[in-house]
Amino acid sequence: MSEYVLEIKNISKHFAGVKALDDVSFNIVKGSCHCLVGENGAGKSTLIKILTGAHPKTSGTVLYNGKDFAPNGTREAMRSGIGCLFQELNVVEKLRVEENICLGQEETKFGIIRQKSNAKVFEVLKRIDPSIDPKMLIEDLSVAKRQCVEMAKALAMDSDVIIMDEPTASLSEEEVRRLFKIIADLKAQGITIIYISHRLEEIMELADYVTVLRDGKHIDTKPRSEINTRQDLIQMMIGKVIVEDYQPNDVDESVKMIEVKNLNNRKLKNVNFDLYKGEILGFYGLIGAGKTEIARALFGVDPYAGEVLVDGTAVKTEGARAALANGIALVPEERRTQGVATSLSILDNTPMMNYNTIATKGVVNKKKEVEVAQEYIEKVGTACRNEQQSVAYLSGGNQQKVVISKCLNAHPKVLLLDEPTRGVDVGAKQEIYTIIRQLAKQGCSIIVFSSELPEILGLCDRIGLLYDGELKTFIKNGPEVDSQQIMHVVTGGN
Amino acid sequence: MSNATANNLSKSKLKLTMDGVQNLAIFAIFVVICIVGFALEPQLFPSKNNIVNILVSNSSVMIAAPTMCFVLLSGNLDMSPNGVGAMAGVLFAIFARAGMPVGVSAIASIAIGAVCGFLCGFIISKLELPSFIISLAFNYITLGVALIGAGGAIISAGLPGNIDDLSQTISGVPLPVVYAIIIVVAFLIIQSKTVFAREVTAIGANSSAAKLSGISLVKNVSAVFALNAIFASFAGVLVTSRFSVADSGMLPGFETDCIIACVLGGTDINGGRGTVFGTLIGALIVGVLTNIMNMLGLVSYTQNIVKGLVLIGAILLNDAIRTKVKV
Amino acid sequence: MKKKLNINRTTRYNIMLLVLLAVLMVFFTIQNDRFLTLLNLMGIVRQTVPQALIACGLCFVVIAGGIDLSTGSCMGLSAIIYGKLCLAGMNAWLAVVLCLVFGVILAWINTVLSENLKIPSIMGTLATQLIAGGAALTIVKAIPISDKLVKPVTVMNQLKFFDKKVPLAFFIVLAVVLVFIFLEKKTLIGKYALAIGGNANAAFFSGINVWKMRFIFFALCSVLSAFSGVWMVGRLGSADPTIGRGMHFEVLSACILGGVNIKGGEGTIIGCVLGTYILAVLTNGMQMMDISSFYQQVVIGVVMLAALLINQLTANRAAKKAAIAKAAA
Repeated sequence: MSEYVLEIKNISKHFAGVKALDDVSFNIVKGSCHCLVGENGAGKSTLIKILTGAHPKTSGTVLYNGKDFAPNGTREAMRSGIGCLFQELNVVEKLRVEENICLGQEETKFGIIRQKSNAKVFEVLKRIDPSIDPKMLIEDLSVAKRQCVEMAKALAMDSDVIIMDEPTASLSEEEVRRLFKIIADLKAQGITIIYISHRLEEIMELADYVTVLRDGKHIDTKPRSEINTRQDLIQMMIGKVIVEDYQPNDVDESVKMIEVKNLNNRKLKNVNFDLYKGEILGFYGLIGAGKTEIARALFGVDPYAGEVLVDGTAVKTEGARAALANGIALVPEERRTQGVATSLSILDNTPMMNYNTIATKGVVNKKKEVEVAQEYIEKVGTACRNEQQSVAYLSGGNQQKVVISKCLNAHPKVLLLDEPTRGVDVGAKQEIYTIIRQLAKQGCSIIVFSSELPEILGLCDRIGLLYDGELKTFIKNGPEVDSQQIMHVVTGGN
Repeated sequence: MSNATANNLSKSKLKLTMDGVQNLAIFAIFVVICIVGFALEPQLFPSKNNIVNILVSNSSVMIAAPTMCFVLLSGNLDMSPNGVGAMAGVLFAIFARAGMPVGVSAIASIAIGAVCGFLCGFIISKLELPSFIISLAFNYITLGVALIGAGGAIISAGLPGNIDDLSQTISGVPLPVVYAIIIVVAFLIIQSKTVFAREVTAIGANSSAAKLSGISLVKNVSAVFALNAIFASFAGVLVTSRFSVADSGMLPGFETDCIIACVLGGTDINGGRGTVFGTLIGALIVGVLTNIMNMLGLVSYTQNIVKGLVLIGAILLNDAIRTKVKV
Repeated sequence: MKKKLNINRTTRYNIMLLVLLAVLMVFFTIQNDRFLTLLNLMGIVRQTVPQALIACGLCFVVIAGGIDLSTGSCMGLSAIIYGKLCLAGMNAWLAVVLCLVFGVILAWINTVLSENLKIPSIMGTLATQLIAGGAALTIVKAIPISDKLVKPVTVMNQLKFFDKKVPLAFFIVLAVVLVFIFLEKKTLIGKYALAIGGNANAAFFSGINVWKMRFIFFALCSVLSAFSGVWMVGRLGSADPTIGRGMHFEVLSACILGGVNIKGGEGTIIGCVLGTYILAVLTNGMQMMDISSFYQQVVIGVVMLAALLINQLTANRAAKKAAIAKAAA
């Protein structure tokens, strides 16, 4: 037997021409905690999806315990011993803890569940968290404990590899401590953990080995002992960010388009900032830092406490309609579920935020409707057959352009863009950046919320750094910006 | 880039839409069924009497199906037309019997139906409860009111002689058919020309995207249910007027018939897709099929079997068009 | 955490139903002293055998995220199949067995429509409702079969035990309810229904055979409907194709009132049984108070609406509480 539980050899994965993974090779030592780090879009989640069988790989091989491993679907991967804690929890709320752990593999006779199979549940659960009563209903458990149940479920399936994708995202400090102890225990029992997190201090504490991915490529795999500081990790993660394409905008600092004072809600802690006319402001932070929450609060769809002034007048925005009336539009984070109605055509999607451009007193001018749709198709350069095409059959980038068209049609003074290029190919990315710059030149104020540093550095005049719901600091963009310092701040450093 | 798109745009003159394909398919089926009818009964089938007959017996469905199409478009289901229609019909008779002018009685009973529909839609959209079950509860309540109003029997005695004014036949054309045509045309225009229709479609296609675009769910869904209740009530009033009898069981299976017409016409039961034109053809297909079956001597209950099969076939056809045709 | 008596929302709701049933019974007893007699109570049980049985069967279907609107028509067609088989000279009890087999076949069709052809079960079972109902009427040309050959099953309705005070119906309902509680608590059926309806992903990743389970849920529902059809023949003494008309909504209302979430993932057999008997007691009590039966429809509708609103509002409150607790942590 080799000392490696998983050997990843020359794995590549292509999505419609985009290389999500490019010739990645590294090995994972049995019984270790192997951390995967990298920025968003570095290829971590693609790699995980290949290991758990959710996606087939394009080329390369994976050896699992020395044998070729190509699972046909997640179920098969789980059965063969690779368990995964997904970010969205896979537990059934109305079932008890023990029933969830056994789900799908109950010992039965004529369909009647035999009680003695519980012995195993007790044993597995005790290894994870003895404080959980197996008779409890899941709905009465906290998120942390639900995670423990999922871990117990993976163990009950005799997994010897457990993948944890951002497991601490919604845990309290104390719960994180307990999770780390569980991980240590699991390691002692010979179970391999593949751990993915944006929080570098966690990585520094937990890891036996660290693998860094960047832009789909394998940068390095090092034992923890060879990494001295967080800075080393950061350097590997972001390499050299070249900010060659940043062009400063004409920011009129005498006109404040938006003033935010003491914005607080469930996620946000005392956020204060101003947005000037013609400025592109960037908010950078990792997943869960509070970017989407700021965007949604400004757009009036999440409740908040605090004061927001638009164009000098205080507004209490409640609901998207009011925000649009105040001149604020939002390109939401999730394009397919929140941005476009994919079953409808471009023509139907474009006027959704402001029917006044195509209608008078509720009556649609059909000629105008077509004209407006065509106007924005040309303006933002949506590649489509014609305006009647269903949005479902457009590429991700073009779908995003439809969302932007929809917002532009509302003639916003302030445009909020939440992860504007997520899942968008490189060419379309550049086009979207061009659109954003043009808008700013025309005097529109823009806030870009992104977890991709190159995007922020290439676009924004000022950058707000977020960590755990707090606005840590603002920096002015320019050639002298230290990307490693930024990374330091958004991963929790001072 | 933008040059290329501009060229593309100007070049493609014929703009095929998914709805277009769907309507074409359903219309072709309608034509085939008509040809079959013609082949079976070359004299009887195309006669003016028979056509009027088909239209009259389908007038109720044709009156309420366009609004049911809007309900489905918004991603909801309305199970209450049967009850709301019966309640309005019975109330209409009661009001008329009490000496109210026929027209006023009709408007008052339809208004009460509208209030029920509005309430139903309001509860559904405000509390985000499933429409199927809430409208079912409203169906119970309104049907119960109809039963109580009619005293468990029928109301025929004491009705004014002019109660059938609303459903007379003027120079060979019965008024219910005229109403049906007016309503269908009105909704064809509403669907094609109004923001309301756009907003309802957006809600059914993707309610979160609609919400984030500033479209009010409560306002639109309540309006859609109120509209559907208005036309269900109108159908109930017309049936009462036509037979000069109010009976709580006057519209059995009404909601099912309306839903079948919509689905047959290509309306997606998950919302966001469907046309009033398709729904009209759907209603006519059911009407012509029924007519043919009548001519073949099939009794009404046997026709239910055909209806069930047609419903399954229509859903499968819709799915096939939606997955195969990529427009 | 302090150890406290842990009563979850589902249990609380069921207790509420029980209290409601008790209050109704006390109310009707005060109104009419004939209400709380063994004779009357057993009468209620006898009259609502189909409702109680089908509610048990439908419960799992709806918990698993589906719906079955074909139950009423299944009753009617089953009654006609029974009648026709008897007329053909078959042994009545063998005919009953064949009716149950018919239930399984109908369930298979419903399963194929929803799982293989991907037609939402609300539409698929609406279609089978129309087809089965139409078939029942067509076979007998809408005329009930009242030949004495169909009479053997009337014995089910007449049989009484314990001094001729407790009818067979009571034992049948009791047995079915107990079996279903067993199925719910002790077998895969109850667990997998909650899993499939509550979190389809979890069910999938756990390797649950959704087709097979869906078929079992539909089959339990249809077999009980088919049996109820025969039971009604026993009660009426003739095989009437309109047996079971409107039953699909009536039973569904009882389940919804019983706390079954129409979107799936939530509900109990006990709740469904309580829901059934709350509606039954309401109907019976109102009859005894000489309130016209027409009011029952309205009352059913209002009770259903109230149950839905209460359930939704308490769920909202629970969710809010959880959110606050999380924010505090």
